[in-house]
Amino acid sequence: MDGSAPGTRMADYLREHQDKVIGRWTELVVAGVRGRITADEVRRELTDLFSLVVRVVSQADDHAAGELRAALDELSRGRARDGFTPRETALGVFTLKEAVYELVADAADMVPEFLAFSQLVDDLGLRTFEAYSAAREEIIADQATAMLELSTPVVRLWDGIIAVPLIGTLDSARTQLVMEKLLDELVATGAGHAVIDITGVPTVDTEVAQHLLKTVSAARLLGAECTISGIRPQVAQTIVSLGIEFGDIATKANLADALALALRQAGLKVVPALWSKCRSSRSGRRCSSPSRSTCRTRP
Amino acid sequence: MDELPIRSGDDVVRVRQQVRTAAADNGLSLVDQTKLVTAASELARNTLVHGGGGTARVEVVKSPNGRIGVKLHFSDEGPGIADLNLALTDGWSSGNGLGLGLSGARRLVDEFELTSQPGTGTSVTVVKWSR
Amino acid sequence: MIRLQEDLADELAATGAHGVIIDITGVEIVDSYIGRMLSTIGSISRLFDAETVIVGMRPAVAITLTELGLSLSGVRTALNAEKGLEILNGKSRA
Repeated sequence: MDGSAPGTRMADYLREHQDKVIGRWTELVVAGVRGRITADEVRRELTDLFSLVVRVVSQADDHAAGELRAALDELSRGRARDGFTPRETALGVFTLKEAVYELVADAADMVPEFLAFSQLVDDLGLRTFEAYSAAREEIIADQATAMLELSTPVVRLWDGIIAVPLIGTLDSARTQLVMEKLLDELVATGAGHAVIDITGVPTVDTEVAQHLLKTVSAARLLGAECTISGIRPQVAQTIVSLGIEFGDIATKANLADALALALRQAGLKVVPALWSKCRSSRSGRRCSSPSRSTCRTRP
Repeated sequence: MDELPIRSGDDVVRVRQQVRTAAADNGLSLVDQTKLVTAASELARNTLVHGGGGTARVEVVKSPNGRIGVKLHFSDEGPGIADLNLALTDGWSSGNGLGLGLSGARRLVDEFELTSQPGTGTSVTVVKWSR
Repeated sequence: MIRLQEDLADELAATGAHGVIIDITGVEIVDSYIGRMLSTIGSISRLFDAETVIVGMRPAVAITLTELGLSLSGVRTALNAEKGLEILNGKSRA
């Protein structure tokens, strides 16, 4: 038994057979990626990893483990972003075991070393899988955020009146976004009235109601009055049975009613337009009757 | 990691500035920055007014899945809080000045930890993650 | 803050003004301490039969205050000084 560090024999063995191992490893990985990455590219990636693995096996320096972990994380994230399956990504690591095993299979004295090496590779493979998972979750979260943004428009209904049609559930994340967009729009337009339409919100329970109340509170701090519209009959029943109080916030069945209320509060009124096609207007005299049938200057 | 003394109103302002810088430098949105700095202001004032002065620490942290966050730690050696549950209830929303603002501060952050021993002191740790 | 209250009280007594507009456009943080101060100013003004309107609150501040659960009692709010004046002069129907 020589007095050198435990991994030295394996590290020396790996270095000795470097080309063969990397060659075989590359072959196995290329078979798995089905042409999506070139063999040269794969070989380059694996050569870098290989030298890091050897350093870790030989336990020569303390930084090697950290560098190897970082390199694997980076590789896994890339694979996840590029749409590779978890299996394909992890196999990229596990195939190293296969490549090495094929060489040591006949060397009985390398068995204990190989076992230790095998454990190391298993650990790396699991780590790869974790990094891949985390990257996928990040992508999903980004997509969710993008969807949230798209489904929260703020529209201008009239001068000084804006509306937020909510589609889908109103959870805490959504509420934050709604508040931000609504308030930014209030500042940008100087609007004094906001209509929050909940026709597209499937259920209104105590939590949703609290989110709505919060949103109204925030808008009021910016001097805007709010109306909640889109109260469907079933929703109305649920609200009452849950004992939810909207206090002094006006609520309406639909957007049209809410708009009418907002216009009234703004001191505006909608009236029929004056019929202005009276022929006499060409001659300079203008008929003020509201419609063609009552025009008095008809020729 | 920075440790700041809280012995005066000016110190509270300094803590706010430090927190603002840390939040802005680490990717927190404007609204999240505002929330964190406001929470810091509440907690720093508590440390000053109820804790008889103390210290604040501002740290940048990383979550297991790679998100960056800002961690704040306030501690004092004041009288401590006898009833933690009471301190955390929402009895102060009318701004009556008797409440400790802890329940409000808790709503502004993502993680909130409060430990207090009557006679020994109080410490509060909060974290706000970037999205 | 305390000086602001004192100066304000003096000014209200001297001029008999019926309204106070506090512009917080430049205020980045409103915590419970400042919130209480604002409410106190509202109370002081009311003793002089004047109404207080806070204007220019930043969206981030409004969202934070709502989350904090702080209700600024005793004062009204408006988007800007112009609208604040409308409220004070009774032109706005709000």
